[in-house]
Amino acid sequence: MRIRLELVLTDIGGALIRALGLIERRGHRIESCHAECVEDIPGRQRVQVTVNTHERSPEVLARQLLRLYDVLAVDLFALSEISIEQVPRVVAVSPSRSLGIGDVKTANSGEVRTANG
Amino acid sequence: MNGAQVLLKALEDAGVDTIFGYPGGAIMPVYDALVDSPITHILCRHEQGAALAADGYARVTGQPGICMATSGPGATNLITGIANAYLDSVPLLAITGQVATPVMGTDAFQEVDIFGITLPVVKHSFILKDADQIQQTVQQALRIAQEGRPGPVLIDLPKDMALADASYQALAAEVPAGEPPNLPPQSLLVAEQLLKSAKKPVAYVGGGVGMARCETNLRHFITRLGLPTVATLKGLGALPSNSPWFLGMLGMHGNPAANFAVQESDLLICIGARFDDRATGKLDGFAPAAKVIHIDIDGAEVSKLRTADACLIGRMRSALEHLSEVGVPDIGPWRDRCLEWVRQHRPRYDYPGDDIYAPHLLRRLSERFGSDTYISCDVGQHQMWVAQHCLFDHPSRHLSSGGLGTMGYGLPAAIGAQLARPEQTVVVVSGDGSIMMNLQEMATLMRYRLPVKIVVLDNAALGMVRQWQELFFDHRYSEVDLSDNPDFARLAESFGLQSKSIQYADEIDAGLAFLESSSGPCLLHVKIDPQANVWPLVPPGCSNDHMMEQPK
Ligand SMILES: Cc1ncc(C[n+]2csc(CCOP(=O)(O)OP(=O)(O)O)c2C)c(N)n1
Ligand SMILES: [Mg+2]
Repeated sequence: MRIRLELVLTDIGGALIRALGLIERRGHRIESCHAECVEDIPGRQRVQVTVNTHERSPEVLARQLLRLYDVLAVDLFALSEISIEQVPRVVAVSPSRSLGIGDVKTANSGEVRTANG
Repeated sequence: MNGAQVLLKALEDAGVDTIFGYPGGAIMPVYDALVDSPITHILCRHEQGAALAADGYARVTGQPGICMATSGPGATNLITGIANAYLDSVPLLAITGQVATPVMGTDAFQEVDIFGITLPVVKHSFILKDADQIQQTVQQALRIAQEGRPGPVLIDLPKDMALADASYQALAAEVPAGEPPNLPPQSLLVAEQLLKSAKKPVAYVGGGVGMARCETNLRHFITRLGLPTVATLKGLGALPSNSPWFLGMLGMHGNPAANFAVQESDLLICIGARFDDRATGKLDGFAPAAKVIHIDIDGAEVSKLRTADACLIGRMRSALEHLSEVGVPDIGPWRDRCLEWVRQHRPRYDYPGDDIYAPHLLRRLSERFGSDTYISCDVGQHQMWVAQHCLFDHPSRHLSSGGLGTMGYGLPAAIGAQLARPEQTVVVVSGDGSIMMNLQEMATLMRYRLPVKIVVLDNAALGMVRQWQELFFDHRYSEVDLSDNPDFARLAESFGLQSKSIQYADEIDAGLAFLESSSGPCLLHVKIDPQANVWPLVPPGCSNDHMMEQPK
């Protein structure tokens, strides 16, 4: 399954490597990655990663990412070939909301927003 | 105050009274500050020993264990201990010295990127690059290590930060721990329904129960509903071993009663466990007919390996309290069937011949010292025999490296346990292979006069590996022979421990009496049958109903 993850990170040394390292270590393949500082919110970094999850659950991956202290928000989008029905527990999230900027996760909340995109 | 002083003061303010460590160049400012600090430093004889001792201390107290080392080799020596804490979810704070910030990244003397090396095995980590952040970082690190699912946190402290002037606030506000999420009401409803309609429910209990300090709630839940219960290696003791509801450990070396019950169940209530492969065997053959209620503080564990029908992510205490109120299910026949399995598969201790049968010795030891004794084990056959044959009335009494399976864990972890509980009996059960991995810590026992009792089960082999070579590699033995072992009794004596060797079954009483009567650190060297294997066994790749039993 191919997915896009949109992450909001604390812009601090190690945060990006920690998140990307986790994705690979948990058995997924990173196909592309783009990271940039969020201009209007200092101290935040926004990362878009396209990932091939093979057989593994993207929702579990998202929750594993959310467990990291530098990861403030995770949005998960199923890519193209997946029909809505195949995406587990989809909740509609509008594209403008789905960037997750400004949302603060509660520690270990395990809440992951998923959407088809 | 300088950074090193602030670091120690922040630890002291947080209630830390003991640090396990080993000094060196980059951490010298902290060792200098220690001279004036009320914190007790325990000098271990290897940084791995320090990290594992801190792990043992943390498991027993529930508070973060603190270990400290210098940069470079000191830091890399901590890694096994950090990984051990990560895989067993133990709250640990590792503090490493680092070269000064201006030379970081230049391959300076004793510089390694310990932050980078440990990324996959820490819950979180910090490099301190601002001395004014030291106090806050220590507070944060301790909070992170403990909150939610516990784990290890690393602070890498460059030497110039330790020496710089650093701000310290006497009444700094405590950083509150993150609140676990509330249990979703919908999932609670689903769980209730599942419990009410189950005909063959089994509670599958893991290390999370002890970490959440929910033993009492668990016991209430199990006894009220009369639920047959199995435990993982780390869940042993959550329900007392002699509870009528307890079927035993499940998994690869589990009790057949536990495995049969799980395999036949129609509802698994997974409480603080994670469907680890040693527990489940072949995953798609695990409890094939069961629905799953999964209670865990860590959302990333729920539905990771087995999809849960009711996901109760959040406070275990609330979940157990809530589910205890569900009406008692009508499962009399199922309960009888489970108890019949227990009766059929009680371990036998009538081993033929004059040799010492390790399970028999361990059972006798456990009965003699009582189920509130701390037993710290190493890794191998002896570790499984402890899990199968010793009795525990609390999870913290059983110190075992479950996730990482670290040979060399037993002795240092016992040091941590004994320092945390000076009045209690602490026994190490080790193997002739494992004891050699942190043997140097016998010097630590002597230095601090810790009355730890060590039992070395000597089968002149890396027994667990030998067993696998025998069973699954066609008896092709490769590098498992340890018949050239040193004389363990004399070795222990050279450190100053009292020691005794036994070899025959009729010497067991004398061996146990020796352990009991020794007031200081001591070692009992026990020669056992080199051919003895751990039974039963689920072969790799098989599901848990395919158990190989002891040949008659
Ligand atoms: C540090 C480490 N190295 C290697 C292993 C692999 N291993 C697992 S059990 C075992 C044999 C342990 O021998 P011993 O301590 O004598 O215990 P026995 O199985 O004989 O009871 C080995 C080598 C390990 N778990 N940890
Ligand atoms: Mg051995």
